[in-house]
Amino acid sequence: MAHTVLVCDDAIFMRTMITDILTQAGYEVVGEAETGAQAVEKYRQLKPDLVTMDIVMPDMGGIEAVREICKKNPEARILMCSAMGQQALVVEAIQAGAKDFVVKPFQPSRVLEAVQRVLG
Amino acid sequence: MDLDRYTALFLSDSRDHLQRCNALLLAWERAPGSDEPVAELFRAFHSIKGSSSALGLTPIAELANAGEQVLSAIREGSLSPSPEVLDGLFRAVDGLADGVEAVATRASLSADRGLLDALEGLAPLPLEHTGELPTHERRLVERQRVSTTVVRPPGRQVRVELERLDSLLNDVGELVVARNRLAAIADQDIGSDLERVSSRISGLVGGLQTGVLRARMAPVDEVFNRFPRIVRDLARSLGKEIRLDVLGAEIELDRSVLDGLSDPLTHLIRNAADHGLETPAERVAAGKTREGTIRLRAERAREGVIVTLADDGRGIDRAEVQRRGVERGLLDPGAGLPDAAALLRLLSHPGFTTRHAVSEVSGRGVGIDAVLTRVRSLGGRMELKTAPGRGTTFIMHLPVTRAIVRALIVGVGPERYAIPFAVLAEAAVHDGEEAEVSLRGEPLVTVDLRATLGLSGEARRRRPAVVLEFGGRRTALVVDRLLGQQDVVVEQFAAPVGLPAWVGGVTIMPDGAPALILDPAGLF
Repeated sequence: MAHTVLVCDDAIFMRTMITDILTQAGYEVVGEAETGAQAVEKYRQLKPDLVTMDIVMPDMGGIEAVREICKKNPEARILMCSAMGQQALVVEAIQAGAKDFVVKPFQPSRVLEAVQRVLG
Repeated sequence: MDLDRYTALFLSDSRDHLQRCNALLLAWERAPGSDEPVAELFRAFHSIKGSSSALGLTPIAELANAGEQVLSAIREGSLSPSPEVLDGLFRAVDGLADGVEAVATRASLSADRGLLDALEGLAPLPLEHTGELPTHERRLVERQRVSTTVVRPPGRQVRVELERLDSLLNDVGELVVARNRLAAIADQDIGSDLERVSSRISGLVGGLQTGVLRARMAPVDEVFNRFPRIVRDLARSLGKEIRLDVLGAEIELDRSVLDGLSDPLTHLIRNAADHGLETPAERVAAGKTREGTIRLRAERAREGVIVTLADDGRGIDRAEVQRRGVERGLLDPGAGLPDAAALLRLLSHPGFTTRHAVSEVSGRGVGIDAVLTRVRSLGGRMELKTAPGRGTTFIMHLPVTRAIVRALIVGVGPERYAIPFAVLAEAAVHDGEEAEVSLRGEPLVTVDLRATLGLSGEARRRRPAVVLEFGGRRTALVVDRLLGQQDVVVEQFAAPVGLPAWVGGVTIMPDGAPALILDPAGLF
């Protein structure tokens, strides 16, 4: 069965791009979230195998969302999507429980590599 | 990768962001103490940076990044939002908008070095281009954590290309014509299976038509929201103080009507700011507030929407317009001062004021013909009100959609004509003895359509007349026959030179014959 993924990003552009990359590689994108708060709620509902998480989002940032999700689901597998220049935040996200990160702009091969690493 | 699809997403997303940035910057400029807008502005720049770099649009990404740095510095407290800084951000938004539109038109992109340098002068980029900017971004995240912003639950929406809705609407238009034809045939056999099926189809087509038209509706705010920025820039460059009040931004219009409204409104707003409103010194001398007001308002009306643009400036000098009109041979020297309708006719005469210094007549003539032509091509009409020293108001009556209108079909001689319901008040009878149609004892300004069309031959003595209401007055139009009401599909056509002013459009009747749609403003 295909692995399920929740895609979290406030930009529809990025959500579309990530969804396309993952879908073409055979993953099943089961949900999308535009804010950190939505990400937490959708994770609870959907229990996906993997979450891709943007860092800068309205309402609740991505790092806080990672913290919330991992508090209740230590086994959650979250891949951070960061822009260039956010290295320090990536470190913070990984401390909060994220498993790995990719840097935008995305190259499909890099994204898929990271996804495979996270799903182990 | 499906690049076109991403580009379309990038364009619509970025335009939304930039429009929002303008609104946020304007609010910020009015209340510079608040740092509320910073987080949202930052996200907008950040999002554009991300998607533009994903598409390899480096000049846009660079500019977004430079703007992001400025916002970070403000957030960090190392830069204060001075007028100079806000100007820089306004310019960044403009630069990004230029870039986005260049992508839309497939023009070549180039980096605006001057602008980048100016922004970097405000907030230097970190030493390494991709280096650390952790502190301020972390703070941004921290702030978001404690913020209690209530986010509107997103309604499930899809973005649809307007062309697809256009083609859907075209098909529905054809379907409406075919349905009307079918109904005309079926009605010859009342009670038959054919008539029953036809009536069922009529109901379904009606529902489909309503649904498609509703899908095309957009709030006028999508056009109005660019005006605060335009007015601000105009006020600055003209050295005037101008307030723009916007009312009814939530009122909805068909996308095509709305898009068509953008240019004429921009034009009228420029005119109002430039020529209608006085300088602060002139206003004070005239006993007015220093700040002039432009009021833009949309409201629902019977069968349509009224958009009003009013300024509280000096008004139009009727005597001057009259003098100019006589000079150009457009007015009889003996005629009195032009009334509002005559004024609009004179001002919209192509090139009426271009030969002279425009300010003498508030420059109202410049481009008014273009505005009027556009409003008419949208199926609307325009009125003008002006009072010396008190200001000028343009009133645009617009159809909610220009594709399908409900109309009364009338017959004159061998031809049929459609009169839009929007202007109909009631029906009356014209007794040939009298020159005018009287309604409850009150004589109305009356036009006989036979005379307008130049038809010869004796008409019956008693004939039907329709009472029309527009421009705040009632008039009567005498015809030969009233043939009933119908939804008519307005066909797009290129108006030939010399087309009479009373022709508002053309439609196809259920039997396949064309019929003209009347524009009553051109009849009286």
